[in-house]
Amino acid sequence: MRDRLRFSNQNVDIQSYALHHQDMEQSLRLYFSSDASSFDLRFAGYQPDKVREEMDTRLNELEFASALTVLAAVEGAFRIDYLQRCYRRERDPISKKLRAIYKERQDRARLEEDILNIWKQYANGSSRIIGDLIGAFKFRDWLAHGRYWVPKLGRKYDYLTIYALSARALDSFPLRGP
Amino acid sequence: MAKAKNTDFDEFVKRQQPRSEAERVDWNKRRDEWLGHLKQLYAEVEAFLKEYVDNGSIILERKKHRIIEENIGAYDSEIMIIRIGRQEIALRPVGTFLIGSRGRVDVEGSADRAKLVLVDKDATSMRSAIKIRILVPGEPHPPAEKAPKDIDWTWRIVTSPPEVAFKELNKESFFQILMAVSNAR
Repeated sequence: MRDRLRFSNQNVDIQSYALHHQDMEQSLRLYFSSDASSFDLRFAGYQPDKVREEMDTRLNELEFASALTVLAAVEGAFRIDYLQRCYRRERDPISKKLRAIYKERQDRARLEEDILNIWKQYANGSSRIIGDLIGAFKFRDWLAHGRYWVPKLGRKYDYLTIYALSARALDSFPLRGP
Repeated sequence: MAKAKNTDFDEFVKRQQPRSEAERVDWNKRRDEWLGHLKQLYAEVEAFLKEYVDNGSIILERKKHRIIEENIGAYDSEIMIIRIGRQEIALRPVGTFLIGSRGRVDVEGSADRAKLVLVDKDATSMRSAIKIRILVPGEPHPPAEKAPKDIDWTWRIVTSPPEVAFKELNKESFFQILMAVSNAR
């Protein structure tokens, strides 16, 4: 059997991350505004529309990066919960099912097929939010693997929708921390 | 060989069809409802700004805007442009297939962007927690999740993360948005 995983305590708190995102967005907006001291030099010869277009491109990239980070935080939270329930040998039905998976896969359990699937089956009220999370993780995979294909996601995702869903999930599930 | 290929292709074509007439009609209905709510939002905005439009200090324009959504395909909507002197603010519809809302319009100014969402009139936040309980064996199985009630959809302003709280959309809050996205505060 593999050794227990040591938790890093560097897992992302999405509320703190939201403040980081706000600062990044405001910084970018200031950088691209004529109030910035570097504006005249940086955008010499630009048409105003071109400045706006470049800023929108940067903001879109920021949104993708932040959505990826927030979804990674959600995955981390579910994985920490899975491991803690197994390490502490908790006795509720979900912990027992997760321990059966742990026997086979240890810290290599699959997020959707193993962990989220158990939650979906044994937690009342969870099926819709798990369905939404699984959809969002498809978007995460698309971001994480280079966005080189046209994804079939069924919905539009961006930082706002991903953050709201993630915060709702983390507030709703009784997840164990590190 | 050719026959087998055709069979595969036939299956492929079949899989791409809407599962039933009802399903297709639902998507069209969903699109039309969303566009109806959008029209209602624009009418509200026009009412908010009427005195300024009437005296010529604000100009409202519409621009054709194509939205592509997986379930519906491409359809036309409109961007509303609000011109206040040198400031230009665009109300840009995003779509209706979104998590946490029935539709969204982004309000884009020179300094910032705000978001209007079409949500349940009773909801207070996009992140409201739901009650999730671990099932215990032997306990009677709880009833299945309720189907969504007949929701009274309404437009709200949603604040940025981490709060993602809903604020009422009225003349005063809309004016505040216009000033915020134009960096006029």
